[in-house]
Amino acid sequence: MAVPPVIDLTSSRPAQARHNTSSHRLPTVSASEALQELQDGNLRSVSTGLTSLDGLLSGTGDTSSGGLERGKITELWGPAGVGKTAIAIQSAVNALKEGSTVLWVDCATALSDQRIQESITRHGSKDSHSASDGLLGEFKHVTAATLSHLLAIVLHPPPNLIPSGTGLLVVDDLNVLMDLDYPRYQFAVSSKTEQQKWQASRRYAVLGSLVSGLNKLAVINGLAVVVTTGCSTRMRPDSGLGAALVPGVGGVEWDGGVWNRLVVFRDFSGRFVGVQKCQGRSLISREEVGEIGRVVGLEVANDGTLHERQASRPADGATTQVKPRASPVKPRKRVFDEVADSESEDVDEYGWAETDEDAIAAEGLIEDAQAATASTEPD
Amino acid sequence: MSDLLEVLPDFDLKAYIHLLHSLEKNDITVADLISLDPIEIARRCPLPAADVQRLVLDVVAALQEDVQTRADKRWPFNSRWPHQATISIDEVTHTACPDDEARVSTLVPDIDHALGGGLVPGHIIEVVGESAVGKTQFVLGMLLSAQLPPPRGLGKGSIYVSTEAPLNTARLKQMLISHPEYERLDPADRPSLDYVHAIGTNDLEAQEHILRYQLPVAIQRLNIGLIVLDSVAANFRAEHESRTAAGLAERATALGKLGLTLRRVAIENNAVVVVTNQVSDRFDEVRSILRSSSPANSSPSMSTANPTSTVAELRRETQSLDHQQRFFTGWGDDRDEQRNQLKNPALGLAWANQISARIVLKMESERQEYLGGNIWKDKKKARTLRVVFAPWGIVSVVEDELHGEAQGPPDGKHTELLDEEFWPTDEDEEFP
Repeated sequence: MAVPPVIDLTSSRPAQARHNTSSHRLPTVSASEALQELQDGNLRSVSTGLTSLDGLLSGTGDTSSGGLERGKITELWGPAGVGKTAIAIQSAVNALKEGSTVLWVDCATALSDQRIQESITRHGSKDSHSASDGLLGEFKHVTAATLSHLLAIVLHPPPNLIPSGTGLLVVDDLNVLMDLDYPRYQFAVSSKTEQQKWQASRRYAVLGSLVSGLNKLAVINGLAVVVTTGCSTRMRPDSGLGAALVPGVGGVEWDGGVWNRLVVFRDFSGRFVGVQKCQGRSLISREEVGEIGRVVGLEVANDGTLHERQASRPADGATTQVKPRASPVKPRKRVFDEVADSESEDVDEYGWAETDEDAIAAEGLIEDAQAATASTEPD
Repeated sequence: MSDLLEVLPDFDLKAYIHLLHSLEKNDITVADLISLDPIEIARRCPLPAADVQRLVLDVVAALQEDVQTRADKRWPFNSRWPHQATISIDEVTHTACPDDEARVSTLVPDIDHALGGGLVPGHIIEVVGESAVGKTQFVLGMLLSAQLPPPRGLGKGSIYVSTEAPLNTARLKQMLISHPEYERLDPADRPSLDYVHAIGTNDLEAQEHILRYQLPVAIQRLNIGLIVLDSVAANFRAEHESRTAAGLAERATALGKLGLTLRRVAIENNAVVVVTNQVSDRFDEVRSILRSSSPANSSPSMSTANPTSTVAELRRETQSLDHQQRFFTGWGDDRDEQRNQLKNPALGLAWANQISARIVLKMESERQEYLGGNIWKDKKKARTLRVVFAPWGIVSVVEDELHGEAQGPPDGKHTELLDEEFWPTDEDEEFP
């Protein structure tokens, strides 16, 4: 008869706990270790290299221990060429400097080896301490050729994919993979069968599975996850404004699983990073497509590293303001006369039915949220 | 499961043939298979749950193995999963793959500098500009320079896939004869037209077939390092509806597949893929770019809204497509640029998401020189080249004036490639 292994509760170490046979159990740590971790602030997040951004992300304004929080997912989105991958690389190098391992998963554009090596050597030469140590964390690089490949390593992680001591997982350019298998807009005939409706919902269901898989990896391994995506467009007919850029990967399930969301964008005065969601709370109202939240300016040094730029008032600054386009707001489609037919529906003269009260109330919410965000602008 | 063969070409299906028909009928893709609960799949298409479970495990194992082998092939110094290795800084710098050094030079030092050395293998690079600005001319030069030994080239042949006009071999020959870079090489080391292969395709179906099935074979057989597709927009514009939303969605899907095919070709063969693109006009609403931020200067209609919401609206506007596209299309981020000269690269955001880098060629509008009396003389148009974005570092944008005159690179090399004589003239009917 096999003797069950004796588990010594007083000395359970996190390293042991991570090699649990079942990947469903969270690691157990003793209370003293949890307290120790709390006090070692730098173990909780990976710095992005931009001090103000770290401060904004920490939620408390603490710049020394803020950044990409371990155990959580940060989404970085923006148009092509704006600097999302650059920020991810910079964070990866910071993680390597701390001695953590970094796992980089390419989804579309391959990360050039030269680029990451140059970043590593640049940081190594600046900081003499780590140069004398000679020991860096390890940089692991894999490519996910299709969405199925990505799902295979995230939802069913191979036992040795993420070694202990990994600090950061980067998934680069996720929306290209998603759009290939589950296009964002599927136009079928108006009367959808049950089957077609199920298919249309698959995109968001898969995104939901993916985000929970990533969260699980983040928590079990104690690492920070960064997902970069490109953008797609959304029309805004109601407010009379033109199309706006939105994150390429969206949906309620995905948004719910993301802890921080950063938008990287450009303007005449330079590049900026806006914090749209932080500490699990959205800083912008959901209906406000195109809001950017709190903003940090950044600039690119000659050697390619990103530094913060002290911009006075970046996005609504004195040098650039773009007047909203003056196209007319689309009139309501239902004319008053036609509404008379549907009298049973209890509509008032503006075409709102009673059940639309929620929508009306939401409009009021938008007003409040706008005022709230406007009043919390950075000085 | 029809995509299983695309995702895992080597997967052994013998044990699961009886499941395939039912899975196919219910439109279960490979991604669905992995992300859904096997019990649910077994319920939807009535199948034995144990078999589905086994299939899922086998597929997942095969995919994981595939990811590992690809990583090993591409990065030999990447440690295998079972082992851990910590690398010191020295190791990192010295274990660069030799292929990393090789780039395709454009043979113009300024342009090479803007590109950070040249075009990097493993990426799709788009060259976009109006008609007759010189895109084809630009890529023709690269068909030859790719044959140069590393680090200026890849030492391999090149393929030119044309959707518009056939390859202009006469011009290639002229370049070969008169370019000083080639002149000073031994005849044996010089690039040759023997290693430039061309194929033409006039419709989308043929294009897809060629790129997907024939191209990988040709690359292996003929040792190809550079592929040029000139132009990507021509066949799409001819065949895809771009006015209805459904048409756009369909086109976006087709572009995604094309992007995947080209990316695979580039990465697996460590080749450079250059794609040229056409442009369409950009129609901007009249925008008044306010110079000061005081609401008092704004129009009466805006001042009625409370000031905080005005500011919020203005901030929101920075995220509008119209504004942001100034920075990733190549037109519009210079405030001095005239509004009626702004262009958009064709095929929209769906295609922009597929490419790694974008180079834009622009042409000045008609310039005329006043010669006195009633006579105006047409001046040669100045062309500029700019790198809009590139993944091998955030390149500080360098505008390069392409002149044919003596204003060449500082070391006095006369860049014949850009000689005005070789530019298309009006008599040239081959160039659109």
